[in-house]
Amino acid sequence: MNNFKKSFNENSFNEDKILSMLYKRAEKDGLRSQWAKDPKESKMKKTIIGVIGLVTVLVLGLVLTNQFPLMNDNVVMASISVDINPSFELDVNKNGIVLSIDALNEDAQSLDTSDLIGLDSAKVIERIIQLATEAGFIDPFDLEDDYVVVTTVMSNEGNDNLLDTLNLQLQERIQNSSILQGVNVIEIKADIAQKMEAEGKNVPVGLYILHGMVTNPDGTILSAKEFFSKQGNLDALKLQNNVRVHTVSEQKIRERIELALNKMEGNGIDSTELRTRLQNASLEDMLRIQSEVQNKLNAPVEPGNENANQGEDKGNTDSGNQGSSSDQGNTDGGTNTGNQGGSDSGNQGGSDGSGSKQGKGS
Amino acid sequence: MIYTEKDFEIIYHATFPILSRFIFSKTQNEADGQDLLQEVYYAFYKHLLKTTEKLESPQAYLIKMAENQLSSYYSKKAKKDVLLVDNSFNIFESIPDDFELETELIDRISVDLIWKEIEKIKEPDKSILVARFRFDMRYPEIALLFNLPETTIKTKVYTAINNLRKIFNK
Repeated sequence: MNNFKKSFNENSFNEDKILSMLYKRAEKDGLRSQWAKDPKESKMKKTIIGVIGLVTVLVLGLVLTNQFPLMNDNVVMASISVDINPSFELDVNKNGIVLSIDALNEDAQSLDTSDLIGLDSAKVIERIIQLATEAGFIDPFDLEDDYVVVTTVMSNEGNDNLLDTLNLQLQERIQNSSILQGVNVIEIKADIAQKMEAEGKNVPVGLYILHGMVTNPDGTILSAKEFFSKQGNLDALKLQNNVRVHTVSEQKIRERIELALNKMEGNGIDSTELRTRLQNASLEDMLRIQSEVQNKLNAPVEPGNENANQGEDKGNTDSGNQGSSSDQGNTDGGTNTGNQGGSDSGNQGGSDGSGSKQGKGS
Repeated sequence: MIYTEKDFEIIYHATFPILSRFIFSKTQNEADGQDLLQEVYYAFYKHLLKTTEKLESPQAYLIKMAENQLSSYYSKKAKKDVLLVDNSFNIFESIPDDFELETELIDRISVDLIWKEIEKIKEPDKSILVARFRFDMRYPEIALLFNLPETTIKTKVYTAINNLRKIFNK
């Protein structure tokens, strides 16, 4: 640390100086003499002095790892906000076990999370995503990326052990969970001041951290999905120090394209060429194919032109190449996605979200 | 009496980083922030001396106390809106975030001498430096806090450091 920085640390909000001033003030007010002598403490001190080195080291180790004397397994050591939307807040103890779950909006209140108390936080996040999927807030089979913003706020700054535990639990869970691999997980570390600011403004803390990035000019907050659907936002976010991004696995992207191709075939659209390309496609190729499939599924059906140009147009939205049976398929898609989009917009203050979703199926 | 002065000290050290940052971010003023912080801890000290009940979460209790102190602080001062309304704000702006190089150039000057000059800087510029160098806040955070564009914050920090360099290079 250079002298410039040191001058701030030593003179501004200096921990020791302020404590010393407090003690002087307490001394002057006659408060310090009022503290009772603690017989237990002096006995303990004597005992510790008498105990052999190994035991002393163990005791010190315990004292050092517990920052509060009254700490136990029921003390909240961190809050984790999970924003899909719906949005939840999990309170966890020093081992990363969830002690309570708060539903932060109406969508969240519609999901029953009562049986998740007592599980580790990563498992709870996975189960919340599963519940949100079952309830239609996430459609794993559409061709749109879904985003889950996981924001951790530590009760004690510097409690790196717990932060490591939480990160590790989530990473392990992502590696082994098909549910988590199907969504983009954005991990954000926030502090308590930011959390309180967010609470004051009734905005989920994860979205509040992205403030400036997710605020519409009229002051309304975009949902995570709406925000990340804008090209470049995710890449820019990855550059920030307090953010970690886990993107959807290639396997999952392949799976959802295959499902969409099945749907295309069900609609009477030839998918042979796309399937062939998909076989050995790289991630970049897969995203291109995904976009083409999306366009084909979204293309409006022109009466009397149902079978024209099947499989020839790539990425052309006005191809008009869908068979007559596609009416049924598109209606299905529209129903599913409309439901999801509606839920998004319901809480994030805008018809934009539902509009973008509905566009897909109409 | 269930707490000792030693307990107070443990809680003090465990909560100081969060509470100081919290109060500073609410007051956006170094001097006021320090005064308020001391008041909060002093009230807490007196509380521990008297209380007959154990606190479930000392930190939550302290934050609550800080909020009470802050409301009386705000009632004396016009509350500032911390929302950023600047349309030119761009979080991805690639202006360097690190003034390590510049500050190293004045590193040969003693800590006390540097602080003596920093103390002469007027508000809010001084508190902006405190936010940056004492609390290690990032520029977007500081911009949000002081309700100023990020570029203005960077310019203020850069200008302050440059002025210090000029003073010490004389």
